[in-house]
Amino acid sequence: MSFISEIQKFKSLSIVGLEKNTGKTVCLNYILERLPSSGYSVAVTSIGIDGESKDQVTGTQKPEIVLKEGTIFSTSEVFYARRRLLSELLEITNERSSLGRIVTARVLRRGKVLLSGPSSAQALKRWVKGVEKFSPNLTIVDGALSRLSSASPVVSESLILTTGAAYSVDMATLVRRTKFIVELVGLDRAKEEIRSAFDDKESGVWGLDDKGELIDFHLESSLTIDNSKEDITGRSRAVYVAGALTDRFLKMIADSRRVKEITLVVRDFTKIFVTEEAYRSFLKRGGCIKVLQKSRLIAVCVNPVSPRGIVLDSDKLCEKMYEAVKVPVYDIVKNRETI
Amino acid sequence: MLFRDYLEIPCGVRFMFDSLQLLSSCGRNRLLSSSLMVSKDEIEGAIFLLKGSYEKLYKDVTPQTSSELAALKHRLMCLREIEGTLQRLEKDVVLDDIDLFEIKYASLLAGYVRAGVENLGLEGVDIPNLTDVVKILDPDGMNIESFYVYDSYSKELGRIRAEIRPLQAPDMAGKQSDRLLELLEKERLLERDIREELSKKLKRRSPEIRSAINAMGDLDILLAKCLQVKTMGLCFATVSDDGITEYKGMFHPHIVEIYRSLAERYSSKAKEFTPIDISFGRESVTIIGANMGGKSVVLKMCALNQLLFQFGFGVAAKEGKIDIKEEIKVCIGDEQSETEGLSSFAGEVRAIERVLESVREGKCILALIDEPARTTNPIEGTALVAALLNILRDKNISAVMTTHYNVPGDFFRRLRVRGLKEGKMDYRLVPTSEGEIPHEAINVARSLGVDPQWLSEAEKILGEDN
Repeated sequence: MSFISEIQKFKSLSIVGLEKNTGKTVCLNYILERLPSSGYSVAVTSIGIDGESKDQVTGTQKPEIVLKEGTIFSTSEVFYARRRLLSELLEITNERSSLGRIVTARVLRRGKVLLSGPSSAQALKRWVKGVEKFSPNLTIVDGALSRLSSASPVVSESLILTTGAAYSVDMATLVRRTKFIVELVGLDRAKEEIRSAFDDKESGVWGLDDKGELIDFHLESSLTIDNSKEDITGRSRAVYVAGALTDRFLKMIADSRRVKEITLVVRDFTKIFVTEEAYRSFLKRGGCIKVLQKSRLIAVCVNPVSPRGIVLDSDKLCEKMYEAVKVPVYDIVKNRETI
Repeated sequence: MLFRDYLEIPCGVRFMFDSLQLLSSCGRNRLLSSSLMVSKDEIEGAIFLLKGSYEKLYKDVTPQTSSELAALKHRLMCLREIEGTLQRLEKDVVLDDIDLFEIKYASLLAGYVRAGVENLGLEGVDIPNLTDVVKILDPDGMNIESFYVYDSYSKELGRIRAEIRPLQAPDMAGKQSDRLLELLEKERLLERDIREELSKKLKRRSPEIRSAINAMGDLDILLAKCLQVKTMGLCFATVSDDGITEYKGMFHPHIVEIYRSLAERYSSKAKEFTPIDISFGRESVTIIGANMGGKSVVLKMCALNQLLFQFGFGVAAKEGKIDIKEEIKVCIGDEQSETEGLSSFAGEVRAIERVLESVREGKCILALIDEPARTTNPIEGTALVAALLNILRDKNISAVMTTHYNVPGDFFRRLRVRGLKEGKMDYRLVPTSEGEIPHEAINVARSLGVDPQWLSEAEKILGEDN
């Protein structure tokens, strides 16, 4: 039970799948089932979908989650009406989605429900804050593969990634690609003085020089580096990108003579939108990326079965994956009794 | 006309609305769709309520009053519009748990708000008692804001639920037994019957529920108005019995706020707003005076205060005695509308035409017209203004207009802005007589630092003419 007791150390958890059919729902159901029933309560929601019709077109129907007595959950009005459990409605929140307002309820008799909660990282953050009044021990956000932002440390302290044959059926590729994401999740926090210099900057690109002076490059984002009137790498020892970090920006730093002297800073790993190739070449030249906020990766859960029926060797996959990522790796379906 | 129709009139209603600290969308919508009060009783009642509440809330307050008020405001923030739910109820739709929750929540809230009003000793505020509604939705008397179809609604429901529980597989996997499916179906049908029964009972209560929500919305408006009286230093005006509107120390809250925020930005002392005294009966008054002498601001203040008064707000003056009007017509600012193909002149003439229309209908109106016919030549312009004043003569209306023209006639009153004195503008109004048109445009322009060559050329030309 080390997996479950590890989760209990945190107040909030996000579960994110790197691809559909990597077993995120299985993982969520497993965790919800195994967490203690008495004296411990959980609040759970799922990142909202943008629109029902669109979701049906792409076929990413939300699977039903099994919730047990005492669990607090938030979902849309439409899904609340379709619930297959007995629950007490606690609150109608001010968050809206295409499926109606988001409501919060407590399960009175176990059963199934479709979860579709707030749909942005900011709204999820408000949700976590909002359910505090029902004093859960743990809040869980079921994240979306397309929106890694739901895994942001802004939303939750800890994280579980699910990956598997659906992400790639070639074990080596699967391990390598997962390792890359794990590496980004594991980026260290910047030094205190750098963090406090950049922490309140919500947008733009900023620098910090040797004297500790803040430099505003007057850029809206890293996408508009062409508009910069100042040499970003010229005198900064740290450069902060408040929004998305792109390949181009990363290359620009990598190409600088001062690449080794500059710490590149982003808010958290969900802001990094670079290819593995660009990232590796940046590191090779001596570059260094740090984050302001970091969440703890509890485990990587693997699903060796691909939707097309290809099955990888579970034990071997777990072993190789562990060697690469150095955090606990579980195949929940195969080893559900032993972890 | 409704409050919302006056919002964009360029006299400051929008500013007053935006700075009103309304806590609920219900209050906001109630205010926007309230209509201009025109009966003496109604207005006096509203001002009496405002004054009484203001004194209770902000005069010689104890810490207890402040904390009670804060608690009451917190409750009002939770007020939600449930008109959709009530309409479904009235159309005999069987409500679902979300609708039933909304009604229970609002009814409990009404109870808390009622208690808050009582604690504060607010008189004249009546929130209907919805204890009976709460009872319908809270069969166990738990007094908490949550809802489901409680076991205690029916003995059978409790029994079925007790039987379901042990039959469920722990992980919900596998096939559910026939007995379980049968029980779940029974539960569903029972719940449906109970919701139907609840909806029927609640339908009878729907007028009370609606009036409680409206009353809470109105309370929200009242508290916001009281706070505005306090923060802006507004007064409680009285209804005039003799057709004369009279303001002492009138000011414009938006301009005061602009002065204040400018001073804050440049950390300097805020410019003082010169309070204005004015009075007018059911007659025409012209205001002449230098450019930048605040003539238009006087019109805006008259318009704003008239509207504030007739919508039950505090009035921006030291004292006010106000004649009730059926309509307030404001022609201020450039009415030019290129998109509608109107030139400045056409726009203006059309706006004045709307005033004349109301006059023809014999309505008691307040018309505030800024420099009529200013966009045409002074000869025709003067004639048009003189004719307008003539038409408005003895028509039971109050018209205040500004002008730069020397309009002949003795059947209207004339006021003049005192004007520049030792380089400083004195905005106060004084009575004046025919022929006295201030020639201060050049001085004002000079005080703005305009090219001296241009101005001395102009003075030379004026000298030649004389």
